[in-house]
Amino acid sequence: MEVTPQQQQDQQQQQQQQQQQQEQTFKAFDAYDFENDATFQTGLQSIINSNQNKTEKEKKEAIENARCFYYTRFIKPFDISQYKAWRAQQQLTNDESSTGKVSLGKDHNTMSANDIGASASNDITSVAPAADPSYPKSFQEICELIAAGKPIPGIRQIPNNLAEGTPSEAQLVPRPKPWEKKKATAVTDSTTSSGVSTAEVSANS
Amino acid sequence: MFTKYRTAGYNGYAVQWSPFFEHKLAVATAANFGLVGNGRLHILNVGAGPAAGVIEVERVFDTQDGLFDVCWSEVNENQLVTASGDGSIKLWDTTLADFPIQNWHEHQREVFSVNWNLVTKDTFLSSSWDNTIKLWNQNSPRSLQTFKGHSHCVYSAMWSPHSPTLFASCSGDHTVKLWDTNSPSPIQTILAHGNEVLTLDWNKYQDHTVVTGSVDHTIKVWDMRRPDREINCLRGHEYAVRKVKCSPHSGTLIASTSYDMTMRMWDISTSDMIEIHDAHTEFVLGVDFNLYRDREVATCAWDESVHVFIPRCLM
Repeated sequence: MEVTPQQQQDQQQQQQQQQQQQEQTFKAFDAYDFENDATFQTGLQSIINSNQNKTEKEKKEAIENARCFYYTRFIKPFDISQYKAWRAQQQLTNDESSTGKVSLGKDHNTMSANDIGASASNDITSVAPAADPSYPKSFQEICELIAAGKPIPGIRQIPNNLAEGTPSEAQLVPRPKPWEKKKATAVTDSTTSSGVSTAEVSANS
Repeated sequence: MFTKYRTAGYNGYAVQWSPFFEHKLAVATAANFGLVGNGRLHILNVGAGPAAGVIEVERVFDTQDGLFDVCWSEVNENQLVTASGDGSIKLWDTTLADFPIQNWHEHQREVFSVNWNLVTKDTFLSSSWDNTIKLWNQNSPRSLQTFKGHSHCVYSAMWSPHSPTLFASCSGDHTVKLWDTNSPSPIQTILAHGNEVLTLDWNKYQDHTVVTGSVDHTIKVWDMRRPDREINCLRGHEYAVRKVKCSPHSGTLIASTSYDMTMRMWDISTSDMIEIHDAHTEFVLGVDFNLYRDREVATCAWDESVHVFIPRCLM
């Protein structure tokens, strides 16, 4: 079926409207006050506890997943993968802006909210039963500040500059590595009576 | 006995000895455990002989985001490259203060490893939580190649010390992959562990041997020609193994670090644990063997300290 120019225009307008609505939802989610949401905070504590023996990356993911999961379920549903794509785009365009990076937003992740369940069941099957490694107390405190969207004290703004001045030129010949020396010595020993390889001579000069 | 240096306010992520100067040590660190905030690269001079026990700071470089790895250039004795939490890769020249001489930003997420080619010495690799590995030349404004194949974060990508084009990578997808820069796809995939594989290194004396460390607490030794099972499995760490390094001086000696707050050394020919360094008070992340002082080892940890020492097993 032919699509008239008018129909095309209508479609485009509709798409634009949808995009704007979506963006508003995403911004509302970013601005949401998780810190003062008692229900979320209660749930978060158990998530932090159950993720104690995970890598720091997994912890960050768990916290952000929890936010997405909670918001889409109890406040307003949205497509998490589209949110992440939008967020990544924002990150790229805001690359040099100094705000925002302070929050967990720097770590938009690739897991979906459904993965919370998946990774939780992984815990039971694949992680050897052992007491959790004890993270330093301040690690927990920082996790909590991040989860609560509070500013982290002491972050300095470093300009994204390149050094002025001329980079150095190499003055030294690369030194042979110990395994290269041993191999060279082994070869030399077995073929000639000279024990010193050319590589060693250049390194000593 | 060990020499201690405080990286005050910064948690240690990686250490590497210079391939040119036996006294130079680079340390990559991040504030707030790398969760958020600044990074700092420390260039240290470590004394020997009469100056043993003295560590002097040559230079520090501050970055906006945490630094997760560092690797010295193999061609310029003053230069080194860092991996950053904001996805950037920076090239530094220790003769120039404050800022890097190059800054690449292609990875979409945290860069977790950088590794300089040991054979041709003209390229380096980066691996990222965006699931990719990238190949770089220090003079090119963009990456030369991107390698896709892992389905989860790539924690490390390391060149073979024996080949100009071969490298191995390990990932949160539980696999280790072997790559050749002439091919866009991996040439070998090994389901290496029952959990995330955080680290790997090549044996310097056995061409096909790779050592891996995992969240499953174990270290495994692999012959890359035999993907069906490991040569041996080293048990002893009580939590995730964060870093493994093969000795540059011996084909049977390796070092490992762990969230159990220890650095351990192992004889892989007998599977014996031959050293436990338990002087750190938080997770130990970095370890490296000095290339030219052949018994010296450096470690760094989340307790904001760097230790330099000769392990008892090497005395």
